Amino acid sequence: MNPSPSPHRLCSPIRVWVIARNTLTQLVRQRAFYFLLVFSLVILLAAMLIQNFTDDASRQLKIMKDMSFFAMSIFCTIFAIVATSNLIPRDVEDRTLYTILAKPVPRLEYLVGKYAGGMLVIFFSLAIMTVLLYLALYARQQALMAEYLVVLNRPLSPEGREDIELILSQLKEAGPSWRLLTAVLAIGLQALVLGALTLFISTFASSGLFTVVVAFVAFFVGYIEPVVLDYWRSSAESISRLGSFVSYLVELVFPNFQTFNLVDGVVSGAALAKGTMAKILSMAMAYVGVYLLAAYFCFAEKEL
Amino acid sequence: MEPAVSIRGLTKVFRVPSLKRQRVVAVRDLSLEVASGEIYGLIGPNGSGKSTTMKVLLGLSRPTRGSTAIFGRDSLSVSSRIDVGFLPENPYFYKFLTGEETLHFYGRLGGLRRKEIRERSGELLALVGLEEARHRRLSGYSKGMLQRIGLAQALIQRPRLVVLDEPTAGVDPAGSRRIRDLILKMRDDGITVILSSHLLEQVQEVCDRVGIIFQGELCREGPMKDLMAIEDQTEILLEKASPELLEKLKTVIREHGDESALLSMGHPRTTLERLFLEETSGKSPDTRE
Amino acid sequence: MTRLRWFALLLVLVFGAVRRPAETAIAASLKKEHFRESNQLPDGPMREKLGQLGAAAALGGFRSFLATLYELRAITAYYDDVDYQSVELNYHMATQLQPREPGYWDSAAWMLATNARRYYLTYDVEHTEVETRALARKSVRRGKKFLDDGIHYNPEDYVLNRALGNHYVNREEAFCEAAEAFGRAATLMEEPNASTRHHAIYLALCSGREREAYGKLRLIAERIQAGKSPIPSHLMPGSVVLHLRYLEGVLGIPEGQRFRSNFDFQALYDRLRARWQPGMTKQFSRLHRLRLYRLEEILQIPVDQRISGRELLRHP
Repeated sequence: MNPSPSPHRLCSPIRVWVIARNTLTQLVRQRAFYFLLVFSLVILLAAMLIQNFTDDASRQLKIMKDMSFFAMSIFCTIFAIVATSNLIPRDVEDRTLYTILAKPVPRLEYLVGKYAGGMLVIFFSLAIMTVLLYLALYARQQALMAEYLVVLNRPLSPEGREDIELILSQLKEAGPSWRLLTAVLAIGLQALVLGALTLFISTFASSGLFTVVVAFVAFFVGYIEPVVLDYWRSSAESISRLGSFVSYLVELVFPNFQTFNLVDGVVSGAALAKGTMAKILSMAMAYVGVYLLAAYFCFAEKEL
Repeated sequence: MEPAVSIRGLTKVFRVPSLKRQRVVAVRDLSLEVASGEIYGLIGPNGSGKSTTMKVLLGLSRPTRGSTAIFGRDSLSVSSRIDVGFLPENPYFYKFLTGEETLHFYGRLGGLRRKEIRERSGELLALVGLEEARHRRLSGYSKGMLQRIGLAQALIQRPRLVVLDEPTAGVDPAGSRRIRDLILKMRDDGITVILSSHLLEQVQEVCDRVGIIFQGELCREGPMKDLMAIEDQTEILLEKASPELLEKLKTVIREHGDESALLSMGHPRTTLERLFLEETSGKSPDTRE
Repeated sequence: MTRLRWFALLLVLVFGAVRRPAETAIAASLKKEHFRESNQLPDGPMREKLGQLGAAAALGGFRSFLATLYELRAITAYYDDVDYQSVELNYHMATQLQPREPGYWDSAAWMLATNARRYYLTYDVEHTEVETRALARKSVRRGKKFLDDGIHYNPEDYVLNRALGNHYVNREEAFCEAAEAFGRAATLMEEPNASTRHHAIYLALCSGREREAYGKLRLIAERIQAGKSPIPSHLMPGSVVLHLRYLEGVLGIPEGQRFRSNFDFQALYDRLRARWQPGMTKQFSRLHRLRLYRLEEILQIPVDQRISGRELLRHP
């Protein structure tokens, strides 16, 4: 047999992609996408439920959005933590990692590939869920608008006409729009950061359970801490040095997930400035970069 | 010629996770070289440091002291693994992949192109006798089949060195024989093989050189035939000797009168095993620093 | 811990220090762009009602979802249990969770000031008449409070301001306040709208604002007559010309400068009068009585044939 002719590259996107795709295959074949069935049911249920509950047309669409975004957030959060926490420990336990790292694969590539694979599942799931949501919203919006347009063609008092026109303009606003993608993006970014954080924790954690618990704690603290500290700083009469040091330390250690808390605003119709979006996007990328690098530092010298 | 493997003064100390900060020396000042094209057998009881040595050699573990290199490249550098194929003990591959997908995955990691992998995996699946099972997921493979697909993945990028950790553990005799034949084929192809095994007979059968490792130290090492030779004994190999001739020989030896004596007639069947037991018995088990 | 692990820890801490000001800036932008509720942290009593998990969910980006759930509970309480206390409580939670969602305030106000009021006055058999009246008055007050609070959080919402105007007209018969509310609503739309008209109409019923009202009503009437309004000229709203003609008399506008229209005041008067029966003082709203009175003035109906006697004009 001849020696391998292909030269070795220090960093190869192909190898990262191979590992990512393999991880994607793994998660797909483990039926991670079955959740999408549940999601479709949630949307269907929401669409059926709301007709019995409220006559307010735009509110019907709001309920659909609320339920769908809730389901998306829950799926992405749980998936980002539970699936990512297991990616590396499982390979170590099964010794699959030995065969991978015995090939000319730098550990950083392995880490990034595994992470990217997990995030690809989230990406595809979010994409499918978004399409489903848009279709459902569009169908409901059109059905409602058709109903009101029929009414509008009847003889109406000026006040009645104004009411119907208002409802129609609200329906137009509340339907599927590009703005909703901001919420999807926010959910996705949050999952990216959470996934990177979980991967980082899993590189030094002693068990999968530990990783999951710590990641969930970090997630909740990361959401609550900015608001609570803000409130505390603005309302407390005097803050001790120790108090301010500890709160500062908490801010340094825990990620600030409020940065990615955009869903409520989007559903309420708020519009995000492009500059703010860019800042949030950069912040998410910085988080991912830092956590992956930290994960690499912990993983680089790990005894296998 | 550059050695395929060179290990110099390798020491590996593990910390035991406990309050007392205990340490365990897994490998102590181990040095060895494996020449290119050689089949080298590393034998030792459980926990003697064989697997640790292999892991350090493959860069899976960092040496506490000393260094290891493959074809002159330090094991700590990723590029040292271009020319290596590794089959770990009881390997678990991704069970969700088919045999063919497994080879594709490892081939891509080894830097092969798709077309090369297609050709190579066909070759290897034929070599390890898994052509029929190429489209089956690994979750449905038997232990022997897993070992064979493991061997195939180790060979996928045409490595010059193959490291096999207990390649026949848990495999039935027929499967075991098949793996032995594959190893011999590798030698024919000029591949250097490092083999660790409990099956001493098998090691004796295929290895050119052997190192015996015990409690982290290499206590005996050399070419198989030298190690097997017993200094104060002489073996006479006869062909087509009649019982009369053998009887005459016995008489001559008896009548010679000095200290010489006929110990046995026949084949020294388990000499390696005897040597192994000699080397690994009666030594202190304390290896803590 | 290996050297690299210390690096990892250091990296996370340094990143924490670097990102902090950037995150504060993002938080400020989000607040400015209406992505943050003013009461981000649920207050004590609300936290109690939400429970720990609910409070965490409210902070964790599920406010909108929780608000939806509370509204669904309010609607269930309305349809299934006819429990207006529960309706109010659940709408309170929904509005507190998402104060910048005008629909919640509007629905809550409607539920209490209209549905609850009607229920107490019509269907409630558990209480005495005095009690049901008190309960009805109370729910009207509660409903109004929702509108006021809603407008406080959403001063620029057309629907809420219009709803407040309607509330003043229908529940309190306070026309000056109604005119103010419709006036605010009217300015929130680019084109003249129903609220522009209502503003002028109720201003015409607010003593001391007659001249101002006249100017506005005249403008509206001329727009309709000229075909510049979505309302076709042959459907000229009776209330516009009625008050316009009445004010022309009150303000002593010379004949030649008056608004010319061939509106049939007699037909309108007959229609309104047909609804009237003796003893309907309570059911006939002050607004109707005022309209009748003004029509009688315009049509110069002799005093002994009039039905809008002085006692009818007293506030009920």
